[in-house]
Amino acid sequence: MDKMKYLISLFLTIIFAMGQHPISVTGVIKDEMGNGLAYVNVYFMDTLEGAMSNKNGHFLIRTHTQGKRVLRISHIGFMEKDEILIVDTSSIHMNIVLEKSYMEMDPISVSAGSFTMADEEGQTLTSLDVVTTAGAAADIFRAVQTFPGVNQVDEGAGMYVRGGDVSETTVILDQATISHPYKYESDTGGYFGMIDPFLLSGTYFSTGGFSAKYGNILSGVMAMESLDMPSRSSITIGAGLAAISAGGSWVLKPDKLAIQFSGNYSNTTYLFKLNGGEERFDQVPTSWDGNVSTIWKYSPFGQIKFFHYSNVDEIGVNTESPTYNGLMLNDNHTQLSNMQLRHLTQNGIMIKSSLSKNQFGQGLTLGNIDKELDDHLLKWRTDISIPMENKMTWNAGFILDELKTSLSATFPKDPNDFSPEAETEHFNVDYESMHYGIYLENEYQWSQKIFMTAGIRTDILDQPKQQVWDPRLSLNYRLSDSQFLKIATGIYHQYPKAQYRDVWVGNPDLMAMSANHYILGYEYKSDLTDFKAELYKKDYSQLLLDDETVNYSNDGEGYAYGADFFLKGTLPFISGWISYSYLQSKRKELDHLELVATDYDINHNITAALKTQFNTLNNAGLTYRYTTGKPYTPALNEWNSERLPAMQRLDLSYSRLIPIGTDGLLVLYLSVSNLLDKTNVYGYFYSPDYSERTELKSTHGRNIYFGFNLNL
Amino acid sequence: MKYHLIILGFLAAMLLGQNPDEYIINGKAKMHTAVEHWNEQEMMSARAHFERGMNFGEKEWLFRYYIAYCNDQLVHYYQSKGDKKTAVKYLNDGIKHLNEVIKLNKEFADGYGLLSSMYGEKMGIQPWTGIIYGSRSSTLIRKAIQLEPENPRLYMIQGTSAMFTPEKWGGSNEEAKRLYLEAVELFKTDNPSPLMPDYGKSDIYAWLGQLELKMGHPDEAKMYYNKALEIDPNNNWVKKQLLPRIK
Repeated sequence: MDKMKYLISLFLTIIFAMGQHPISVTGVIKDEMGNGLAYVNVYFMDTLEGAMSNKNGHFLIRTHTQGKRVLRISHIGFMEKDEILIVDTSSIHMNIVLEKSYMEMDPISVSAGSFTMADEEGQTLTSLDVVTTAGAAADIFRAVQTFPGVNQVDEGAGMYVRGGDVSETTVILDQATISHPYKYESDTGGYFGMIDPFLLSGTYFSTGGFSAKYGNILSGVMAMESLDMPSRSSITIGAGLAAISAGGSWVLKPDKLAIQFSGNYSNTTYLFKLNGGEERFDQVPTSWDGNVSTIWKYSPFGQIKFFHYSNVDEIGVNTESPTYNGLMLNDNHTQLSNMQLRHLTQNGIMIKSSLSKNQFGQGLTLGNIDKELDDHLLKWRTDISIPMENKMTWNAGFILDELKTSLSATFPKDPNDFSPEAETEHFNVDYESMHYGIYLENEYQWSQKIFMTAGIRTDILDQPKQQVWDPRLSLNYRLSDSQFLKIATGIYHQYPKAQYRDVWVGNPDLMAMSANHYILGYEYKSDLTDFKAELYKKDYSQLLLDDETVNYSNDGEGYAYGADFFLKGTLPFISGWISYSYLQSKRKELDHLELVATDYDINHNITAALKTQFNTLNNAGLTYRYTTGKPYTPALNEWNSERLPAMQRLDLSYSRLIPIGTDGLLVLYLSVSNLLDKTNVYGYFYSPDYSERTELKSTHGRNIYFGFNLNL
Repeated sequence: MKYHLIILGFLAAMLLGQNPDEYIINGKAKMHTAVEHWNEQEMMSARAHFERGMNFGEKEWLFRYYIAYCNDQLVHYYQSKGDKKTAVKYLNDGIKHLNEVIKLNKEFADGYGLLSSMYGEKMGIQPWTGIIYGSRSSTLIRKAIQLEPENPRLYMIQGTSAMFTPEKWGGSNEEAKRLYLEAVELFKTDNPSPLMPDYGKSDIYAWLGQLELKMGHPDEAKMYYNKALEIDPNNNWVKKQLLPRIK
């Protein structure tokens, strides 16, 4: 009975409250110029009470609810605004000014030096862009080489970023570091990137000035995200002149649990039979790779993803040099396993944590060179992003990794003499180290016009024990709806590779190498056009330098400066991008005992990647590259004093899409690479006294490739 | 505790006034009237109604869909007034909402359909964007039809796309007519829940009329326009804009 009385009294209280005179909330809404705004939606966030402003911007809401309340003011073309009101018995009048809103997908938060790639509007490069870029061979690394700031030093996929070496760009997948990200790995990177673009949902690529999230790297970052939950089960098969592939996705419980898998076998026998050049190989390039991933969404806000990837590749090339004519054999195997948790809490905090293991093994023989490398990297990384009020976000995270390297190698004492009778030295390196990193970063949108990211990170290495601190800052200023000015700067460190830190052949006291980045950029971005221009300078210190007493010291130094231009656009019947890079890069490093041009100091690099559609089902692409010659050393101690001839290359591609049923698609493709049949020289093999040399040339002349891909 | 919950539930119902289903149905009626009157303020008011409805904290995908639907009607309105700049603003906002809709409800065919249609409209305003949005638009409508092969609105959207796409890019008047007639047949048995989109019964004849006019058949066009008015005598789009264009 008491309960009944309680219910009745509460009910009457509510009715009484509802019967009270309504409280008026009135106001006028204007733009920044003082003009009244018509048809603005004004409403309380806890009820459906609201009104629309009249032609002069005036509004009136009558409310019965008292207390602290949030009033939302919303109008297309203007920034949404929330006002907190204390509603009591007296009426309220408000003067509200709405700020003009800019494009939703604006690049104000994309810092200088960065590109983002995903299958979404507003991104620089989609998976389809990667696949339809002529000459990119459906490889994301090769597609990224068409961007400014990335130099192509040979026919490979190696990423040399703004005067940095290929080892100065880190590649990350779902927070896991891929320590050897190339297939057919070589000194200049490798021939292809490891990860298929169709396994990716998005990629962030930075040529410098990147945030405190990324450490132990001097020049560039490529951070990729693997595919998310598939919406349906599907099967894909493909075959080409040099490869067959199959893959699929299996949705076990829609939006809850799915498995994705793929496998590729590549053998270039028929490619070389058709195009010539088979005689150059004892073992034509051959590879196997397979991937399986499982995604489990345990709630609408969280998921666990397991990703495993394996690759085996081998190649045997007949090599000619003044000291040795014979076979270069190279075989590599890679395993990457990663378990990643992503969870979004109710108050909007995003937690990402991954535990990964990456193993790489390589065997290499060339003349008197014999190398066996085994790398194990175990890594735990956690990133937390905490959105605050007032357009501020705190990011924090830590990295803990353990590296074990085992290297057994025989090398000639004279690096130019590969002959079996030459004097050699043998060394074994067994190196283990732990690396810890921690960062804190603040992203803050000061106003509609200014976006700032400021962060600091510290990295600690246990062997040899050392700690470095890296502050980073980037500022983006909006000049207008579509124009932006960007500044980024920071300190970057990278620990030397294991073999340089070995007690016998290296120096266990080596400190981290260091670079300071300074970037000034301008961007114009509209629906159909993206233009970027950036000036940059990088100062290097503590680089490794050959030392007669301790093998290597940190006395090296260097700098790089340049300008990058990028224009992506769409015209009637044609789309694509053009990039141009200017670079000057000098270093005193390793056996270059004076400040000289680096091996990858390519001063001018221009690339045009254009595509056209004859209709929606027929696509053609063209990529043209021209780069001025890179330096080489023509005589003892005349480091990099001469330059190779300029390199140019024209690639074409054509694809035809044939829809099958409602969701299936058959893609037929044909490509002609190096259409002009240019034989580019990428370097020379010299005799020990530099009296003789042989050219290191393109492995491919004009080359035809075709195949199909079927998705059901 | 149980009583507190009952009271709180009651209080919420009092404050919000109605449940989300009723609220959506009211909003649909509001928008229908606004389009009939071809009145900017009423259309804006209907859009504001759905925007406020997001406060229910449920059926977000459906509220976003109807916001986008209102935007779509406003796009037509501003285009008819020659105000392309404002039309594009509402188009972009609609596309943004619909991209959220298909993330929130991956099985909602009308969401994919309207998104496809809005990309098509974007190409209509800026024809050279076809190279970007063309394939996206056709993928979306294919996906929508795969989800609901009996939904007449999807064939209407696909037919409109076929009508406006240049022949060399795969467009065809004959294909448009086939798709429109298929939609006409499907509308005869179309009976969606009151919450779901149900537009198009009269509009399909308006589109058929426009197609006939494009093909140089004014008499057939007039016949179809009249058919549209038979179904909805208040269809001001047909009455005030399409019919007067036939001399």
